Amino acid sequence: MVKLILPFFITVALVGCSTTNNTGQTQQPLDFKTIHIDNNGSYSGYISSNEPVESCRKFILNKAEIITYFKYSRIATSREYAHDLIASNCYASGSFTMSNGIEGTWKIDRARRGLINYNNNASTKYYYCAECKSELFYELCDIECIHGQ
Amino acid sequence: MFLIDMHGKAIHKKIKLKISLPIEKRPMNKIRGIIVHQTGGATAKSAFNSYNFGKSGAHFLIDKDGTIYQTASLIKQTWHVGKLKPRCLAEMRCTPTELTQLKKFTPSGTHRREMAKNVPNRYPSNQDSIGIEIVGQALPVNEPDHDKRTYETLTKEQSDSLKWLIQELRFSLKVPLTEIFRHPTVSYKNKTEAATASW
Repeated sequence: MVKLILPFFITVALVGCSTTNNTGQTQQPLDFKTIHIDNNGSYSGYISSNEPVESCRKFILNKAEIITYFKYSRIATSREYAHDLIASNCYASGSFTMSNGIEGTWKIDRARRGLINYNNNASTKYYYCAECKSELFYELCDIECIHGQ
Repeated sequence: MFLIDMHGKAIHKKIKLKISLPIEKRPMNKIRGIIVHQTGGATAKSAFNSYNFGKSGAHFLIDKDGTIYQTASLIKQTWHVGKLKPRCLAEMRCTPTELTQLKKFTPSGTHRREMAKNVPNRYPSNQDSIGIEIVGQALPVNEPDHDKRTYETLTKEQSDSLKWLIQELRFSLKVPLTEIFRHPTVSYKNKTEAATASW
């Protein structure tokens, strides 16, 4: 398990545009204090995908990429995450502590879906990052593109 | 047997019309398949609410008690399939060129190549398939990662309604049995979605 205390302000290579949810509201940035990566380049087997297990080993995210992901993702609904967006068996996951002390777990998959689960109230937020430029993710494609429009 | 009117509405006493205009997209000129889904929600109401956002949806919705709602015209596409998986891989008939292309796994690239083919050489897509959604949650609901959840078993009423509806659609639209699929068969989804559906 990798552990790193992140500086209060971390400089990462970021892409432009503000982050909005699907109702157009600006999303509050997540203020991570620490991020632990428990699984990286992992294969879940829960998704009906023909992704080779070996291909998931290339899906290795570092902490800067995890912060960038959550900074530039939009909030997705539970139905979008579970039903509408395409899913991947390739994922990274772990735990975090926010600057305000709140702890929880996170997960990001190669199809650009993510989730944050907060331990304090067992609530979960779902994310989709169309803005993420990393080539580790599958091609840029949001709902309209996913449905071939 | 039910009739389909010029507006794409199925006329039968077993079908309640509850068309959701936001989910109706482009005209659908030819119907070549049927895709069976589960909603992930506990109630029909939650599915109807999501339809108001005008993103994904299907042509029919089957409630827990077996009530069948028609939610979109059969002459309109709805977004219910997503990126297509390579059919030749599942049916072990890919050409050497296709196998080479598939080694570099990309959902969008695969989808583009699949859409250059016709059914039955590819799976039915949004462009040419009817979607049937069945109200059903993935459990346990306290598992934050939906991928780890298992979709609940269809009620007997849902199973009976699904069998009846598919039989009617097959007869009316001349869809062969070989072109009816569960959603995870054709796209990248939780493997358990509609796993207990049969027709």
